Amino acid sequence: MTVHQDLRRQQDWEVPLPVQPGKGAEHRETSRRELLTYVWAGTLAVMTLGSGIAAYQFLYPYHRANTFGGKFYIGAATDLPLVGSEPQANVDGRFWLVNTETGPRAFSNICPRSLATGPVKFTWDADRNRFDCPVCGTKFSREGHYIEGPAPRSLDQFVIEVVTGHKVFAKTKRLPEEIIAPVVPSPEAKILVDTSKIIEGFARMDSPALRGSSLKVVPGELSA
Amino acid sequence: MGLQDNIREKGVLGAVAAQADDVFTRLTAGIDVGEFRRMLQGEPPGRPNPRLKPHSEGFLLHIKPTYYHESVTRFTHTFRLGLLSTYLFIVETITGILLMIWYAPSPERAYTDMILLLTNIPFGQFLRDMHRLGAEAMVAIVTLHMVRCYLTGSYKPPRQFTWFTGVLLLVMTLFLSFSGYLLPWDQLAFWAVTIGTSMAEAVPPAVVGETVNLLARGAPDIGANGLLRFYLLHVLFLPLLLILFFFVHYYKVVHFGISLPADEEEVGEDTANRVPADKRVYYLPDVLVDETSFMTVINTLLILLTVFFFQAPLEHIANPQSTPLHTVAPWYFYWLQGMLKIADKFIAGVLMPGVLLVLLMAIPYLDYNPSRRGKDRKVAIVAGIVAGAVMIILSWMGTPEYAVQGAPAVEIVQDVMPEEGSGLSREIGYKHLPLGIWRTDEEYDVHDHEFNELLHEFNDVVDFYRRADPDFNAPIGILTISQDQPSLKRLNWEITWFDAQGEAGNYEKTFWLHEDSIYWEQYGWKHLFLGYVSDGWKSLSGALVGE
Repeated sequence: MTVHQDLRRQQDWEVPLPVQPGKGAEHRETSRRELLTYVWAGTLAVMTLGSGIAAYQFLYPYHRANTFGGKFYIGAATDLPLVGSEPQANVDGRFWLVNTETGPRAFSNICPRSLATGPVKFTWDADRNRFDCPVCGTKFSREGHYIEGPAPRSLDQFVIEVVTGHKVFAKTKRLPEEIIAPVVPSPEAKILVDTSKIIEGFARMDSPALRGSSLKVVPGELSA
Repeated sequence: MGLQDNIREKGVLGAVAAQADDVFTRLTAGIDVGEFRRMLQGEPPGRPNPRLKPHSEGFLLHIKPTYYHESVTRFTHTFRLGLLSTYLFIVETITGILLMIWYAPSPERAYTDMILLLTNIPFGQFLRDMHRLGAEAMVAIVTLHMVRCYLTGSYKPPRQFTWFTGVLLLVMTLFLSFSGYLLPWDQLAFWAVTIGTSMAEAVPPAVVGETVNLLARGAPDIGANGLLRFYLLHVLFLPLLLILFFFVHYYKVVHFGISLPADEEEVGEDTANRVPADKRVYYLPDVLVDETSFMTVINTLLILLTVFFFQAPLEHIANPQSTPLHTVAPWYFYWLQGMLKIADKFIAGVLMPGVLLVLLMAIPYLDYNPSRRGKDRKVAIVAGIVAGAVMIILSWMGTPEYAVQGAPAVEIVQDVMPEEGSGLSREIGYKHLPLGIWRTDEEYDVHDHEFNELLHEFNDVVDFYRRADPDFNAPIGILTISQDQPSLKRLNWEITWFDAQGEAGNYEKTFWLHEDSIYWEQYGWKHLFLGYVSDGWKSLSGALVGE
């Protein structure tokens, strides 16, 4: 019923108007009509908000598979380098793929030291079985642990996802003491490197491979 | 009054409240908080009516009438079809602009962009489906709007020109919808537009037709230039033109008022603009609340339809070397395709549509009957119904049902697994297609309900053609499903039969179906809402905690 129909009906029935037009409405309780209007307006507001969230997700840039910033499909677990074999360089993904005793790891190929001045890439020294930075000379072990040199921390790692079926079975995790490589449950499990997620290496003081054990601090001791 | 004076007089809180009220009044172009609440509570306005101010001072409402006649606010008088068309145009504009973000109009990229949109972008498929559904709904609603105005005689004086601009808007809607057809650069797009533009070629003399075609396609054949031209037509030229004519149309609607129900005024009179004070329904607040609540319901409906019941088709990438079986125009041009099947290209493709268009525009100038009442307009209404029936019959003739039937075996396979589009086989999906050999002359005890349905359909369609075609005797359909590669099934359809002379015939067709193919089956609300919402929440909450 429109306002005017309502009024006319009241006039027809000779019902006195509840209040004088234009006076004092703000001091009275919310009427049903007003409440309903707020419900409509609220529904519209919720819809608009929902559209806004959807638009945000729609607009958010995505990275295609196998380009840096997106996920790299390495293949089945059998396609990983053998444990103990040389790390594999992935130039597009900007990482070194290593299969360590503790599981597969993808090290960002940028030396943690040179991040401040520019992206310098470290290399694999097959003779000494370690990573060397050609600029600052920092050395890292196969597991990515800091050995010596000016870099502030161990190597950064990208998150590796192990997918069985359509589910992520395990992925690289950062715990307070160490970075855990994902468990590979079966040879068919698919391996993905997510280059949008990077885990920073631990400070060099915490490195288990640190030279000169006097400097070495056992992780957890400080907090304890 | 200055702020300092205000504070001195009313205190800080009072001054802030007064300032807030002032801002509110400016935003609403003249309605303060008290008046706003009185309005929502259903109280009459004071005199002079302060609720007219937003119409005279604000930009957004200056085109809206300040009040309507009570009779035209009844839903069953207009069915709000004009408002609905406008709403759909706005939906198309918003979804269209969003879709442009992930789309580049070049043959090298367009189709890949579509695939990425459907597979990689949150709400990509939803937006595309909604844009497509909105486009088709807009054609339908605009047509219904026209039918309503025809049946109520609303085109009669003084509204002749309103009708004329309305017909122009209908034509623009059709062209807008059709120009968007090419953009996905799939087989559906390519061939529909090839046929559409080649109709222009029939314009005599030949040199004119060819020139028109060259201008539309930007080359002898549709390619990169044609795609770009259709894109620009679709996103820029036609919308701008439509907006211009929309305002002309709407200005006329407001100027003359919406025509009253014919029984409420004398024949030959038009009293839409002389509304007695007791029949006035003011735009603020009644009509506004009515219209927005109606839009909210329609919006919800559109979202539900898009999510649950509609999927915009995407066929294989455009291939100029191969015309798929049963290529059809969009449904709103079926009537044109139907005429083209029975008549010459010039007559059916240019002359008849042209004459039809001119007739449609000229209706108000040709119809000299002054009465808008149904009982005085028997000829016009019967003529309208006959015209509608002819359109429906022509449209049916435009479908592959009419005169495009191939050999029975070809049609059988086309029915269960068409060359383009989904068909039942693809709809039930990869996981409902068990490996093995399935023959129509044997009974199987299959527990998979969906696959059972496919076998039944296969049986039925083979049986249908056995009865319909004397050259198609003792037919057997054999479906062989094998695993060609991991995640890839091979569907081999084989039909054997004997013709009237007893000679054996054989037809085979093979398709492959991938596990991740996106057809109806893979596209449910669960995927859309739970999947995207949880992903979105993760990324949003991740961003908030700085991950």
